[in-house]
Order: sequence, then C-alpha cells, then structure tokens
Amino acid sequence: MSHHEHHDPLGRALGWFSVGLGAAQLAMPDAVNRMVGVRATPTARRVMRAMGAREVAAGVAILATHRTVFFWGRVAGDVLDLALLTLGRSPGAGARTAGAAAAVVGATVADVMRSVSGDPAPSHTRAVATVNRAPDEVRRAWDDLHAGVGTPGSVTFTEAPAGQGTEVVLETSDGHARDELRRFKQLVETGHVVRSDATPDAGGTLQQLPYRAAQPAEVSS
Amino acid sequence: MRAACWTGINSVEILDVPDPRILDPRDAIVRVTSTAICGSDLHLYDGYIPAMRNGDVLGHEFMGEVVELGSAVTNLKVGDRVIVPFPIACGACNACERELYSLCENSNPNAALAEKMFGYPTAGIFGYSHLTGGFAGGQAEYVRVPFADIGPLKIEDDTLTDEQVLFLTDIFPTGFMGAEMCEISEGDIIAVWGAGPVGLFAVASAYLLGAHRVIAIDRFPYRLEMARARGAEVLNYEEVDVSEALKDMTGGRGPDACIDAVGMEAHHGTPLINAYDRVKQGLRLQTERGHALRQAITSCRNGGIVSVVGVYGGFMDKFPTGSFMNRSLTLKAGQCHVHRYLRPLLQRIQDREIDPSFVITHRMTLDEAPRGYEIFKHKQDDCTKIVLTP
Repeated sequence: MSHHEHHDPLGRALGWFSVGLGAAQLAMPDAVNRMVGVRATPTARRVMRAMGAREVAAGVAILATHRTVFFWGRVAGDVLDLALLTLGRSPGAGARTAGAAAAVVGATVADVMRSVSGDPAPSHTRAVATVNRAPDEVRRAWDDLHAGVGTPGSVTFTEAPAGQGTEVVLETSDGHARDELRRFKQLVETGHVVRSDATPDAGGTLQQLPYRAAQPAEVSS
Repeated sequence: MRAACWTGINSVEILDVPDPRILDPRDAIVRVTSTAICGSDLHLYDGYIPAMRNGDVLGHEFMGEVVELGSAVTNLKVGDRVIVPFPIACGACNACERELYSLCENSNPNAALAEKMFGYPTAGIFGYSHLTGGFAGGQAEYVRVPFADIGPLKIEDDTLTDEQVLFLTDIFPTGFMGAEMCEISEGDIIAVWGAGPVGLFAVASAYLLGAHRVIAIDRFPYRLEMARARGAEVLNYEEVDVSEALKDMTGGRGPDACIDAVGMEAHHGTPLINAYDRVKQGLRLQTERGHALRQAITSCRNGGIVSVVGVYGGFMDKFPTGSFMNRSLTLKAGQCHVHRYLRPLLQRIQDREIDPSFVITHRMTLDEAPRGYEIFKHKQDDCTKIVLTP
C-alpha cells in the first residue's frame, strides 16, 4: 500500500466497482452472460472469466495506487467490453445487450473523466508537535476539544524526553494537520488560539494569504 | 486613532485606523506615551523584510499606560505605567520556559509562513511584518498587547523618565545580549561592528560585563564620537583597513569576540565590493549585504566568539566558511530574548550604572514619523535615535 492516503472519491468508487464486477464475472460467468444478452457458450464463459480477472486486477491496482494509468486501462477495457458485447450478442436479447452497452458507456464516461483529471495530490498530512504538558493532560484536552465532533484524523501521544511534555502526531486526510495541531498546542499551552491584528479570526495558515493589513480591525468585522 | 503605517517601500504615512480592542482574555490595551524608530524598522522601510502589507502599523519599541485589560490579566492594573518587550511570548511553551522568548512557539499566528522561510517558526513581534505574526505596532496612539500577563513590566519608579526606560523594550537588551553572548572574561577585547543605537549599547554593555577594551567600527564620525564617549576606541572603515587595524591593536591576536550590530544592510568601504552586494541584493539574489558579518568572522581571534544581533532576513553569499571552521570560531545569534533582561537591566538603570537616554538625538511627535524615517535612513542631521510622542 502507498504511504499516502488519496483524496480521490471517484477513483475509489471505480476501483471497487471493478473489483465487484470482476468477482461476479469470475464466480458466475454464465449468469452475467445471460444478464447482458450474450449466448451461453463455453467460449463466452472463458471470455467472461478472463474479463473478470482483468476487472479484478484493474480494481486492485486502482485502489492500491490511484495512478491515472490504470484508469486509462479501464477505458481500454470498456472499449473491449463493448466490442465483445457486439460480437457475442444473442438474437432476441437486443434490449438486454443495449442496456449492458449503455451501462458500459456510462462507466466509460466516468473512467475518462477520472483519467483526464490526472493523479491526485496526496492530501494526507502528518504533523508533529511537542506540547508542554504531561501526556494524560494532553490526551484529555484533545478528547475534550473533539468531544461530539470527532477527531479530525488519527492521533498519538508519546511522552517527550526530559520532561519536555508530550509528542503529538496527527495524521489527517484533509491537508490541515499542521494548522490543526498548531492551534491545539496554542489552546493547551496558552488557553486560547493566538490572534493578531492581521488574523483576527485566528487564521494564519498559508492557504489564507494574502492577509489583511496589520492594523486593528473595525469592530463590526 | 492615528498610527504610523507602512504604505510601501520608502513610504510611511500617518493614517487614521480603528482603535485596538481586547481580542483575547490575556490582552491589554496600552495608551502609548513614548515610542521609537528602530534601525530594524529601516529594513522594513527599505523593503528588505518580506511579507509587509500596505497599511501595516509599525513600531516595536514603545511604552505607555494600561487603559484596558482582558479578564485573565491579574498582574497589571488599569493606569499602570509599563514597558513592553518587542517579542511577544506566551510564557508557557518549552522555548519560554528556557527563557528563549523571541522563539516563543505560540505567539506567531503566521507560524506556517515563518516556518517556510526559516525552517522553524519564531515568535510574534509587534509591527514587524506578517512573517512575525501581523501584529499592529506601537508607533500609534494605542496598541493591543497580547500575553500582557507575561511581557509588560510595570515601572514603579516615577523618578525614571520615559526616555530612561523606553529602550528596555529592545535596543538596550539587544546590545546587552550581544555582549553577554561574548562570554567576556578578564582581559578580553571586544570589537563591535556598527555604532548605531544597538552597537552603542553593545559597547556600553561589554564594559558593564567586564571587557578590557572595546573597539567600535563605523563610518559616520558623529556615531564614532558617541562610541568614544562610551569609552570605546574607534575605527572608521572608510579610512583604515579594519582587519589590519584590529590585528595591530590586539597584539596580533585579534579581538576575543566580535559583535555584529549591523545586519543585512551593511556597507563596504570599497565601492566595488559595496556595489557587488547592493546589486545582488537589489536583484534579490541574496537578501543580505553581509560585509559586516564576513569581516567580523575573518577578524575574530582564533577560537573566539562571533555574536550576531544585527538583523538578517534570509540568505547571504560568500559566507567565509573556511575561516569560520578552520579557526574554531563559535557563532552565536538571536533576536533578543528581551523578557529575561527587563528586571536586571532596569536595576542597572536604577543603580545609575547606565542612563540609556544617551542614544537619543531627535525628539518628534508621532505625526512627524514620516520625516523621522527619512532622516534616520539617510543619517541626516547626525541622527542616531528618534523618540516619538503620540
């Protein structure tokens, strides 16, 4: 597995779709063939199993890496599926084949959309800070702060050497671990999140550039 | 209220801005009675500190009267006369516990930006760019002071004037820390680059800490005269070869420690070399003109200490690594951890060991600040230190 988590909901959906469809094709090739209006011949069964294996492999590769090249692989697989549907359709099952083709085309659209959007930036972030309080106190403060709203990611508390407090490691998937942890440290150590005239709303993240000028804000703001 | 605001490179204007208000329970609002223009403000004025914005209120040397307090500040009362250290410090983090107040881990809301620039973030500073938090400064009628339970020191002694205690907010402790980092012992000769206010306080502090001799280096005769008045021998680098002169004055050993009280806008006596650094700084190929630091390193005695309190912002070319490494030098530096010096230095003032008002050459109203920046920048009218009264 990759070290990073990925913010790639469409990619993940397509990956699981591949695995699920491929598993069905491998386990019940005849049933799937009937469903899509393909004649149940020994050859059709072998082809359906092969396509199932291909789907499972593509799904696993996508879920493990989220690499765009595997989505292009799915697009190629979609084209192959459409060709096979046309070749193998049984007379009198036109409606089922047409429905199956429509489903493949729908999947193709999603695959192309995901492929052209490129590799997602890993948004998983890991932040580390030492909070100048004992581990018990830091853990309690963390739980109190996130009671009811849930922790924004996974967090660990380890005692720092020589009484320097607690090493906190926070991993989140929203890209804000650092800011989250910095504010938590301020809150525990100073009693509040620190604000300046340029950041009266306790902002101060790189994402918020450019700032307002460093002069007192109007009371209304 | 009225405030001196940075409105672009070489531009300071007095603007009407909203009055500050309490944002956090540990805040105080101080009505400023005296404030000063610092040499490091000129780095902002000249545009060499990144992350300034049009309208930023300037000023990190100020004192005044407490007019409003947040609910969590119990050690001060409305009406107290206070001096306010220029770094903002929470008093609770590891850095503050180790008395490294200018490295407070919590007081800079723009720590992410400072981290990108410096590797690790530093403390918030009043009126000193968004890199140090975007705090409005004290060259104004009023100022919000965060962590007011930690920073401000009440001045109980009414016989001391504002001018005698104002410089405890920055330049006196900064010069003192520069001298303290030299670990002065008997017989030590200390050389100080820059005879501006911080350099002058470094000269005076080196003597307070027992230096045998102090040598001040500058190019402005009126500043060298002020250093001489504090007991220093002086060198005008436009007239002598500083390295040779220092060797000659120290029995060939070199100064035991060297203090850089110049920083990023050093000037070189040789026009070509000066032009080289200016062009590279102008093209942003380096942020520092580092001549003073280079010379402090190459002039220092073998095994000696180079103490840097002049302000630097980014990167410098031609750092003399060979001289620094092979001669076993120690480099020490830092924005002053003002909080730790407030009480001991106030005591020295009360004991009449030093009267810091000696650096003042100009007194103006706050409204005259724009002119103050101009004459201070261009060293006109023998300007060394300007005190502003709102």
